Amino acid sequence: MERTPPRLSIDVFGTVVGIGFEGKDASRLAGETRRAWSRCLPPANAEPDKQIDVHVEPGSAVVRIEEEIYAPDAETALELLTQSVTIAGLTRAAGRLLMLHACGLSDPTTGRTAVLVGPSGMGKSTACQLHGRRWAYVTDECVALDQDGVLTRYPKPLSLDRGASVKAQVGPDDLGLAHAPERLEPAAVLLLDRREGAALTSREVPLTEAVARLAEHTSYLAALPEPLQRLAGLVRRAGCTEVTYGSTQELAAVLGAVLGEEA
Amino acid sequence: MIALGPGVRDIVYGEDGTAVVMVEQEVFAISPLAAEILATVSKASELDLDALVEAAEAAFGPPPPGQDAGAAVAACVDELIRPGVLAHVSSA
Repeated sequence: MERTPPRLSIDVFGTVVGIGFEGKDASRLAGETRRAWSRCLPPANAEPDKQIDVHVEPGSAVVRIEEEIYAPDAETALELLTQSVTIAGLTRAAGRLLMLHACGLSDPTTGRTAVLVGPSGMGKSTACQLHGRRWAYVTDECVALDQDGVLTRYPKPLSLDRGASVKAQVGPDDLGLAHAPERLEPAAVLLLDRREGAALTSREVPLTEAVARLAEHTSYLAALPEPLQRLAGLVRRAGCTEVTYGSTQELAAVLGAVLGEEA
Repeated sequence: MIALGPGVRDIVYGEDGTAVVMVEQEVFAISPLAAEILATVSKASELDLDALVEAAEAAFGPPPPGQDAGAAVAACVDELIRPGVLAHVSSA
């Protein structure tokens, strides 16, 4: 009797992405994926809106096309899968959600969320890893807001640089990160400016500068109706502060201040 | 005559007099003078340069001695036309 290839579904901003696993150790890879994506699983009966198939074969070239991933090992496949799943979710949310390249950490009780905006390499995943036990993990990749300013969780596996050729995809449960509540609202927008050896400083960014700078860190901004008004609404509601810092550890004080931690 | 560029998608004005504008998929931060010109053009379907100079002088006062408001506004208009924030149009 032929065995059915293992399958899994992931919820990204309301889009259900179905994933099929084929090739060497397909069952093990499916299990690792389920563990890493444990906080993004849709209801069991949810029908996929999109399908991605993952093939792992030793010696295979690394290929990621829209709906197919080929990789020589599980680690590479998991990294490519994270990229594909995220792109699928972002693409389908275009025109509906304001999406910022940012990580999010929230008060686990109130849902007030700090949105930490910055390009790749600015330490967003590291910040979540370091501060995600005190503050709840919302996402390390993309903060998405609907037209009412309500924030949607995307607690994907954290993409961590552990010195290997690919970034490790580590689930928030394995890192012991706190769970974000259902209802999230933006409490602060922080533009990250990490510089080696810099002292911790912060500066309130005026509205139009904030809108222009945040626009650089968005996905599918032009697909929204009144795109700049959406950004301006976020800034008017939560403010925008540029934070210059030397070490990600220093963000603890900033997060405590903006999320209302008592000294 | 000068009008809003056809690719202008959205404009946000700040309390500090500056503005930010999206043209097609690009976003530009603009100075208080440029923002005043943009706001003036946005309120009318099209305007000539003299009307824009008048609006700028009403907003910022007369230029310092030795400076020409007309030249400053014309240079600013040119800078706004280049990325498509404003456009030259034929008078109807």
